[in-house]
Amino acid sequence: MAPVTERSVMLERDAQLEEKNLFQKLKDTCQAASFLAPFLIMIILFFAVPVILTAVLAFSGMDFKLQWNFVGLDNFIRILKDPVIPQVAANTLVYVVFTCIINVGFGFLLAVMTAYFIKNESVGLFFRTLWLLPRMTPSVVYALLWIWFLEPTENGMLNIIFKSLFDMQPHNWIQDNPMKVIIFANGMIGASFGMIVFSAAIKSIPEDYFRAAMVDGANDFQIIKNIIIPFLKWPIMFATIWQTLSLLTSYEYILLLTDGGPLFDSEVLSLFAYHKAFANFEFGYGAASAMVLVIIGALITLLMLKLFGYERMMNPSKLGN
Amino acid sequence: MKVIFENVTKKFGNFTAVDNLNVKFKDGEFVALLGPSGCGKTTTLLMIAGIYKPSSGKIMFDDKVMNDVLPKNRNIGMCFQSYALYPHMTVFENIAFPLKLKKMSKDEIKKRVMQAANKVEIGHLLDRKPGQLSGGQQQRVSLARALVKEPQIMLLDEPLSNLDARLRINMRAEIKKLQKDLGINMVLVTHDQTEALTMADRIAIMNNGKLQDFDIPEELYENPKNLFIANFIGNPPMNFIDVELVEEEGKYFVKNEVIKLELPESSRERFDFSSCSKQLVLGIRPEDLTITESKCNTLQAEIYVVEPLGRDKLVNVVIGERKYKIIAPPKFNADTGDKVNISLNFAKIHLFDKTSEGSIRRNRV
Ligand SMILES: Nc1ncnc2c1ncn2[C@@H]1O[C@H](COP(=O)(O)OP(=O)(O)O)[C@@H](O)[C@H]1O
Ligand SMILES: [Mg+2]
Repeated sequence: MAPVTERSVMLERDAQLEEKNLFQKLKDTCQAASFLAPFLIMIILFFAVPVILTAVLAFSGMDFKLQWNFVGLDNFIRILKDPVIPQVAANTLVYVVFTCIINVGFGFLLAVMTAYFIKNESVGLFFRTLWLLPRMTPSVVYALLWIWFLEPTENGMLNIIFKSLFDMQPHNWIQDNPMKVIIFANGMIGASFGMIVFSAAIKSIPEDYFRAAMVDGANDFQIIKNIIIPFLKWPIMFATIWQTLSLLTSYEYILLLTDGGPLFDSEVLSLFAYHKAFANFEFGYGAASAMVLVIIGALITLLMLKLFGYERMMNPSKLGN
Repeated sequence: MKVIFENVTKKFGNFTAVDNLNVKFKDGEFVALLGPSGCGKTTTLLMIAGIYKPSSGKIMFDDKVMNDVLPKNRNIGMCFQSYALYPHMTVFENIAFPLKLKKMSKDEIKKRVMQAANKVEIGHLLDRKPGQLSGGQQQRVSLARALVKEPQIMLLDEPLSNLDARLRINMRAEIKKLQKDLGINMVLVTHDQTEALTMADRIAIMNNGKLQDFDIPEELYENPKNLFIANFIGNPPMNFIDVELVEEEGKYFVKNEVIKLELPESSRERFDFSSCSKQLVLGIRPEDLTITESKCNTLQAEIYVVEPLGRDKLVNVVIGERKYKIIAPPKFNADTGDKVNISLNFAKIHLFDKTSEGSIRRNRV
């Protein structure tokens, strides 16, 4: 007879628990489902249905006549052959990468300024709120502000500044540097997201780490490098992925500032899809371009989850031990 | 190195955390800052470290005023209650961090880290991350990180409070040995009087931001200056009885509704009865009470409960409405409700003014 070890007793108990759990599990699942139902319905209604519709549409040649004539892979083949696509793809890459760098980098700087250097809670909050204002402004107003600021005549704000400082002739800023303008405008407004995430994370680092580092001889720069950045590894990763995905699909500021122009100089893929669908009424072709975006987004997400692990991604605030 | 506080006050807004502190730590002294939670111990320690600046007053290391010297230029080592080990660095990197910031050469860093790690016996843990260590091991790493700088002064903030009881007793001895070996100043913050009494050369006892006394452990224990110290130091705590002082036929008595005790002749030498108020608090430690047969000049009490402590027994008794504690020899036996007589060791009694809470003991010359 086998001796009754602690372990064998434990195994037996586990087996019993499992048996009992089957019914319990079913009940739990139903209960959970009923709690989740409203949420699930929302997801299905506002996410799944549009994706499926777009996917179906992508295989049709629907145009302004709004007829479902399925054309197989024609739209996708057309994308591959479209002569503007290389430029659009390059623009998209440049736009997403550089805007994301400004978003995350500038957001991090703002967070360090308002949550680390400014020790006074309410002063920090004031500056953060200031940076949130553009977020709360309607996109059209924000874009208009930039258009006024960059106005090509000698009455444009930036032109006035450059004239008084360097005696420069008026410049058509948007016309000459469309990509720089959209990257900068988007970067500024997007930085508030990183700022909020990072400043909350900085505030949650226990004070003792800063004190220990100070006693160990670190200056501000070394504290940022050796304490703040390592502690913010996951929030930074999270913000980067989040911003990448949302930049891939967002185009409203580009639409308002340059409308993708001049010609295709600042056209990105999401705006391309929009133009095809709502300017040229080539709904099928637009949907196919949008599908490409969805696929790229899904691929990036999967890659990131694979690289960093779902568990760790979803628990970004695991500070300390 | 001497550490001197001159009229040091620290305020947070309107709140005074440390109130006009005047104290001098001697070179190579092991000082404990003792007091209940929130009394300003950590604030005092952080002022020595330079993380807080005094609102007023001066802090000096030897003759040098340190108020405006940055923490990194003070040559201090510090251990935090939370240990504050950098979680993303290995044990080696944690200990090496202060040296790396000093731009020391790789070989020198390695040598010094090994030395410090061996001193606290964690040489085998250098590759681990802090998250993989037990509380006691983390404690040692934080000690090594403080030691590796070869500081002039070590600051320890409640270093043992997160350890289990047995480990705490071991570490108490080890930290004390370490300090004696190195001969450096050490300041230990603790709310645990046993820790302070066992480890420190001298204890600064604080309450509500004010220094109550700064003296050797024996003196604080034998001759507490006020009620707060008498109550805070000693385990089990001192017994207190509210009494009135009366003089009858040239003899002094203390009495209340249920007791009346005659004070012996010798107490006139210890206490100043002439100028004190009549409302007093009599304090006596549990070990200075004995259960006897005699009914002469004793207290009549009823046994409440007896707690065996192993080495001896802690007898809880009731006198009138109030409970008192007595240390009795291990062979003592009694049942709840038994009536007993208790005699006092009058040479060891303490008397405090009820309103000012100060001892009425004469100052020794
Ligand atoms: N940074 C701070 N801001 C405001 N109040 C503080 C700060 N640090 C400490 N205090 C207050 O000062 C008092 C003393 O704190 P502390 O020195 O940490 O006490 P302890 O003796 O427990 O270490 C406490 O009442 C605490 O609330
Ligand atoms: Mg404290």
